[in-house]
Amino acid sequence: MVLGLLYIACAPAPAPWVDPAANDDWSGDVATSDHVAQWDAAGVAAQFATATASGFPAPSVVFRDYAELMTHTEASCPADPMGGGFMELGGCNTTTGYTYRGAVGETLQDQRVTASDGSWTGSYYLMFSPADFVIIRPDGMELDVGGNANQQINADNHGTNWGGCISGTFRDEAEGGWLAGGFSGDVCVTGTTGGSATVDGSVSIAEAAVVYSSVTFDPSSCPDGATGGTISVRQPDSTWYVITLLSTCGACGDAIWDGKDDIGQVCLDFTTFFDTIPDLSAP
Amino acid sequence: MRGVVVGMVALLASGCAPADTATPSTLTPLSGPRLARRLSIDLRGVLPTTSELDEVEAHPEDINALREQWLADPRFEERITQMYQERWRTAIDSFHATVQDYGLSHDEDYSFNRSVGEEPLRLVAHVVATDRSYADIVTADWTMANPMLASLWPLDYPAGATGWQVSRYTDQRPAVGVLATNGLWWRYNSPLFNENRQRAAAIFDLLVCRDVLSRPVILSTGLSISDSSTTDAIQNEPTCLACHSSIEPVAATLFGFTPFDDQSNFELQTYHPERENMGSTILNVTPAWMGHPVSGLEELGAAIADDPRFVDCAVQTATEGLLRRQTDDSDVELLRQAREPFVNNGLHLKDVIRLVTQAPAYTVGSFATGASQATIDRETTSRMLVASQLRSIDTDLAGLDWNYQGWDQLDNDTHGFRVLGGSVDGVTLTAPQRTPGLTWTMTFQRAGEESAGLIVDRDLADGATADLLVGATSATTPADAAFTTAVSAAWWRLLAERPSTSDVSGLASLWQSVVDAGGTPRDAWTAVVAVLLRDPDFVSY
Repeated sequence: MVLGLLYIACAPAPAPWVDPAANDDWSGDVATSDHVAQWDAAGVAAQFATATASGFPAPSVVFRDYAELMTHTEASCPADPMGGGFMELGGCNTTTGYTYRGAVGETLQDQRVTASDGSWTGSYYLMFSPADFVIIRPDGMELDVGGNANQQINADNHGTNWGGCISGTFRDEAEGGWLAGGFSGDVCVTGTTGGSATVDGSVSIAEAAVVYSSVTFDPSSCPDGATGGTISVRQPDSTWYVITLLSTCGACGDAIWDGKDDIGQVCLDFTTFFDTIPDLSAP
Repeated sequence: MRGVVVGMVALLASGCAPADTATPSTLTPLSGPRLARRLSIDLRGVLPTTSELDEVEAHPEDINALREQWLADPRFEERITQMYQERWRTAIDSFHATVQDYGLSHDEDYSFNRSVGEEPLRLVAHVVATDRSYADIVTADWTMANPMLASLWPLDYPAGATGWQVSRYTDQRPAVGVLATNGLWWRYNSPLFNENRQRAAAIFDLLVCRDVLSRPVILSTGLSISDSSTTDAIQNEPTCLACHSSIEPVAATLFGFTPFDDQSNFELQTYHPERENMGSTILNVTPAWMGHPVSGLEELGAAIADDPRFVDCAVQTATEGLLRRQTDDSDVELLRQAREPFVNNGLHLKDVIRLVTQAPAYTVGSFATGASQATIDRETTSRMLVASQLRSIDTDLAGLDWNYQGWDQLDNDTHGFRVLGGSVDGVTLTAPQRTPGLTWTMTFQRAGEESAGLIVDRDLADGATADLLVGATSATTPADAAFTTAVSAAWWRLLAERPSTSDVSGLASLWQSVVDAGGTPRDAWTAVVAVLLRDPDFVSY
């Protein structure tokens, strides 16, 4: 009887609990991802060509465009030198119609000794850090820079070592090559003149993204191909094709999509990289 | 024996009583007009019109038809933007990138910062207002942009359009709704070496209502903070794993938004597809959502949308925004009821809003005899207006445009009074003020005085088109019947209550005392309206 009273005291008994999640049926409203490999081997090669057709990113192109634009400065614009560059918050306009805005710290260490035959030994180092600036030409064409860039060349009696990195987002609307449509990435190239070169990093150009992992070249012994490393090419849905290059000379490698589907041999064209080596290896 | 049994029953009855829940019998609803006022402010950000008040006074059941009208009102989208600002806190006064970086003038500072901060809020509001599936907020391939953003960012904005419009980024960012907006990631940025963990925490907080930053952490004194040992601890130390086991796999999907230089607007505004895979390498994890592996950010959006906690959080966010308080265990039944039509009818958040705004916890205006102290402490019978609401109400009522160097004074804290008026700034204050304070009073007083002047100038200039002081002219005095008509109309429109005879005579005395003190009739009318705009029944709802 006591138990009966106790039961009544606690009445009404709660309805059985039902996990609300058990009846959920909204999943049909959710656009779930259904990724598939969109390209075959030729498609992947074409996407790589899109990323490289306008040239391989070289910091010297940015340095050159910047140097040309700095010839249009005036005494008061930009007004605040910073490490060889400038800092102009809010921007200033020259009387000839150039606008300088942002900040750039420029470090140049030129310790070259030139011989009578025009060759040189010593070292050359140029760096932009920080580089957060825009320069607008009178016709409205902009050089936009956000990030860092550097180039280093060392030469002695044994040969020339060179290297350069470009990291961030860059665009020069007045350029004709890779810088014209905008570049985003973080890529470094190192090499020796007449010897091998290595590429590491990532690049987005012309709506194509590519990642280089220890991709090596040896133009003297392998003039059209690579000698190792992996190259990843992004599909627009953020999945990737990873191409493993052979350690022997070649321009082809087996490609795996999204870590699971083998789509066969992809053959890549490295012409524009080889064409860029002079830009990378000279001041 | 009988006494013992009765005693035991009483003891156990109290012991096994359910947690205090506010039953309809203990919550007395507002009158029809006051409820309409509350609903109109919540759904449209403005007061009901006189005819709408008349309608619900005569037919209280018409509130349901009005609710449907107001859910379809263009101002509803703006209200959802404001409601989500209180929870998502993205409309802050400054970001790393500034107007100077873009070469804009200082007069555009406010417009720039609000445009950036409201981007994700506008996306959510557009999904809700246009009856799209709520899942779209994390799966949509579009965002919302205005001409300011369209001129600065890589956006495909409709040619010739004005205002906020559906737009698309052109820099290959994945289709993940708010998770692909610059506005969200500029607000929840990731400092150097944070590696997007802070952003992952924001995703948990905003989208599934899990605040990992509030979890208790007890660190072993033996842990070193050197970089290598920290990385090791994050992946192996149980205390760290409690949060980081779920944080890191989400953070790993966000590296497309990682700038190499977080002072560069060019870097910050651009999505970087080539950096997407850095996450797994740097954090040494496989991207995943709550243990479910994902290939990247796009699959993360779909995984979140598929998570029951995402739905629960949507219901909780909307309910708390409408009740103007946090929900607790006693609201489980309300949340469950609101969740059901939401889940069953295509994830339309309006279904939640419909249900919650009919619930006793929303309509409550006072407590019936017998309401427990816990109920009285929890329920809000009267909600305090805050600056964001006052701004839209006074703009509608009086055309108030309280501006300083381009900054809306009721919507910023750099020069203005947003926080002082009870709203959130998104950084230091993360919840709206619930009880009156000195600065709140002063802000409302100044806004009321300015609005009163605008109303008087407008209404007395042409009584035929007057909105508040109906029938009054500059020659009207308290001796005229028109005075009573005018102040009664204003009282009704502003407070959604009919004034008593003594209320009217009190305003007449005020009017006369201003004139007696040397004021003009305009001054006297301004004082009358200003007093109404500071009335406790005006500044609450």
